[in-house]
Amino acid sequence: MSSEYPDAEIVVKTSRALTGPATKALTSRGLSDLDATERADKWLASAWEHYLRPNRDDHDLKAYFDCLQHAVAAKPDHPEALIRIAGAYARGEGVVKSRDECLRHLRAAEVVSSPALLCSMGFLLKIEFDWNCGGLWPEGWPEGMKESVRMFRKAAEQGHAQAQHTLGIMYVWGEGVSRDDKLALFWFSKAAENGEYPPAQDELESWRRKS
Amino acid sequence: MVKEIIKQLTAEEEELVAKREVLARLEVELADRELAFASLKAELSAFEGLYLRRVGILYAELDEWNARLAELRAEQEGTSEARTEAAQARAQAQESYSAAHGEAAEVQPFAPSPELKRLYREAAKRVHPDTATDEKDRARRERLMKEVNAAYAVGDEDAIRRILADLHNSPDAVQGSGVGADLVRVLRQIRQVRNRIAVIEMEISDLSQCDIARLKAKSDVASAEGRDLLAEMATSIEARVNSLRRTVESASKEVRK
Repeated sequence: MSSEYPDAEIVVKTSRALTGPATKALTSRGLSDLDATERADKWLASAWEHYLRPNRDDHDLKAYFDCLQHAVAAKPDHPEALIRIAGAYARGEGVVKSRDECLRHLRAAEVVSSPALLCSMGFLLKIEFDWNCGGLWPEGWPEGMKESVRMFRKAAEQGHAQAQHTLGIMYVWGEGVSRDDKLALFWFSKAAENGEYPPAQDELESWRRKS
Repeated sequence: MVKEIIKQLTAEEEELVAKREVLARLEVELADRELAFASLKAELSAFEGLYLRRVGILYAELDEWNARLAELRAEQEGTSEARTEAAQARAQAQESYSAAHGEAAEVQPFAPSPELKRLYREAAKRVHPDTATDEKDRARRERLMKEVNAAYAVGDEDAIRRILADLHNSPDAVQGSGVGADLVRVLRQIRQVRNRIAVIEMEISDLSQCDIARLKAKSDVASAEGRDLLAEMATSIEARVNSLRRTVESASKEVRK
């Protein structure tokens, strides 16, 4: 832009006024949540890199936990990061085992989890978390199973088919709840109605045949 | 013998012809850039509408539950701080609600037909204010250009056709008062058009930095990967909304006791 065209310096900011400030506020919230999620996701990816090293040692686990902390710092309500941290506290991965911290992070994750994530958390609690690990809970942790049920129930109430089906199974076997065939059937029907989870249909069929 | 009279163009006349060619090329370029600018504004406006309908309303819901929670707390605690917080939360909720349900949220997807674009380009060439020859002409052209832009933004081909038809019936005012004056006028027009093209480039670059443009860029990248970014954002906010709603519901049971 040479001095021949001085008017070009004056840029009329008409384009900025697409919409009002309140709308802009909604847009920038979305954008900053996205930015925070992207940063957190990057930290989570780094965490996984450390966790999945072939000859993983304590140093790797410490780095793993550090990355998780960074992820949560970037986005305090990032459900996956919170769940991984809860697991780290349960298994002493890169940090000293702590039941309180584990539970605290699980609660925080629960609050911001979608039904799908709640269902995953239910499975984590049911299967992966070893509640007798290293004497942290020498008598085992029966509440662990109840926590698992709670997660499945939350997801089930929001219409998640797999959670509904799994909840039904837990009523069949009395895991974390008292055995209750009626409730089991109720949840199997719900899952089958949903139509998105084929195993539920089979389950319902085999139950109908039994009774 | 036939005497052939060969008219020799003066240097000035040659210059006028050359500059008229330059102006003609610039007018085509200007119409192109105006089309690009108008299209960008319309696309961003449409994306903003989509964002507000799918994500904005969820933020508004979040703010609503926050407000109810703050109001419950104010009821329970009764302190002036609690009441102030409740009032602020309520104001925020109202603001978010109006933004998410206002005019901006109603803008529909923008999909200009090739015909619409062609009509716009032609109209922009014919009525652009920066090709005006005097102030009165410029004022008239500015009015027409606004109409053309408005018609383009809502996809109204007929409106643009009408404007073009009207132009046929009222020829542009051309004051011929000698080659010298014509040359001065053409040079001024060239300067105006070049100036406007530069301004448009700056505006386009400016617009591409705004929040909604950045959001759209991220959404487009996600679509290329087969992901729906707005849906992902919605899911994440819904989880927070559901959780907050449950908190409010159980807190309100406490208050009722």
